[in-house]
Amino acid sequence: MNHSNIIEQLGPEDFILAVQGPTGEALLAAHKSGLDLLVVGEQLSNEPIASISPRGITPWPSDMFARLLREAHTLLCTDDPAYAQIRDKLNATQGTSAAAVLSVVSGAVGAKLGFAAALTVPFLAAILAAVSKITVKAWCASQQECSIPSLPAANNIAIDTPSVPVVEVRS
Amino acid sequence: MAIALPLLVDQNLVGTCFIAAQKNRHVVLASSLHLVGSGTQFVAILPQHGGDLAQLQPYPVAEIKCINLTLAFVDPLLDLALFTFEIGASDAVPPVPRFITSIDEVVVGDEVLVVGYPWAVLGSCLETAHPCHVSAKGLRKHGLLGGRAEIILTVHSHPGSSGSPVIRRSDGKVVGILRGALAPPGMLAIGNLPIGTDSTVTFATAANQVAPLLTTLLSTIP
Repeated sequence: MNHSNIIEQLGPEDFILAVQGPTGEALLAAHKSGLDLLVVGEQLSNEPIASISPRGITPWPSDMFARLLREAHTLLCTDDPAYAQIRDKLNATQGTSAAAVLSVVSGAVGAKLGFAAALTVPFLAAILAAVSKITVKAWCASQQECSIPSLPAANNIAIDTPSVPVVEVRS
Repeated sequence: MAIALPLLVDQNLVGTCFIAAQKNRHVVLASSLHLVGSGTQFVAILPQHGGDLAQLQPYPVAEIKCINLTLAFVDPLLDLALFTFEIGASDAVPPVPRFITSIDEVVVGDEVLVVGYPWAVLGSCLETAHPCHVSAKGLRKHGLLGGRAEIILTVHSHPGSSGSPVIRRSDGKVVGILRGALAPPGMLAIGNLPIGTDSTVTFATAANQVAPLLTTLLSTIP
């Protein structure tokens, strides 16, 4: 069995139910309503900075979902050697839960893109749920039709984070 | 009362986090997800006053003690990040706050304290408890995704206040986690600090939505 079979054996709801809290509930509602989970995932990725002026430095990567989508495509649809070990790890998750698959994928993709693994979980859950709705092969074909844009490999963030000294108090 | 600590992401002071729960010497801190961004290293600073606002806070700060954190859970809809760390066998177990269990527990006009590190982004580790009031309760709609209960505050928030616990003065319960201020479109900005948003319309995620997630996270800790 290969990694494609493992993802296809799990249904969309398996991946969605691995996400706790209101985000998981929203993904489930969106799935049951027949909404495009990739559209929903992209919307989710912008929620933390939606409609407010955040009161902290906000290096929030506004293109995070697009980058995760691109990496998911590389992992699932190509033989890119960068993910060879991860495909082996995925194969080893055979018969386990969607949470285990998500854990492997989020760790690998997060490390590749420079994101904390936990940060990527809800968005990768949306992507893997979208994949498992059809088949990996069909999803890969659909993504090629959409021509995923090539993005810079790292530090492509919306707002630069200034380097700030941490020892001086100004009050 | 919650213990609030300055939060560093990739060695930059970005805002505030606070001790939200603990189990078997594993401590959970809560903050705003937008502070996490594309960071991979998360650290809480242990201030010299130990989070006790009754103590004098020395400054400039000569040295800092740091706690390495692990990002354990995020919820984009709530703008919530939960971090964990483990305390040593000889360390005192920190107190944890109580949370409201329903938005109905909050009444417009409630007096609250925003406890955090305003201007942390400029290097300040001065903790303040800013008294203010609940001016409204809101339901932020997310288009396709439903809604999020929010508490609107009269506080004049500052960069660094994100992630601050909002504590009700009457009973010490956490009623919210500060996110940011109203941002009318078209505002001028200096760098990444918008001007014209220093209104006293400040938004916090209602804390009743956070408590169940803490319970779930604690259930994964042996």
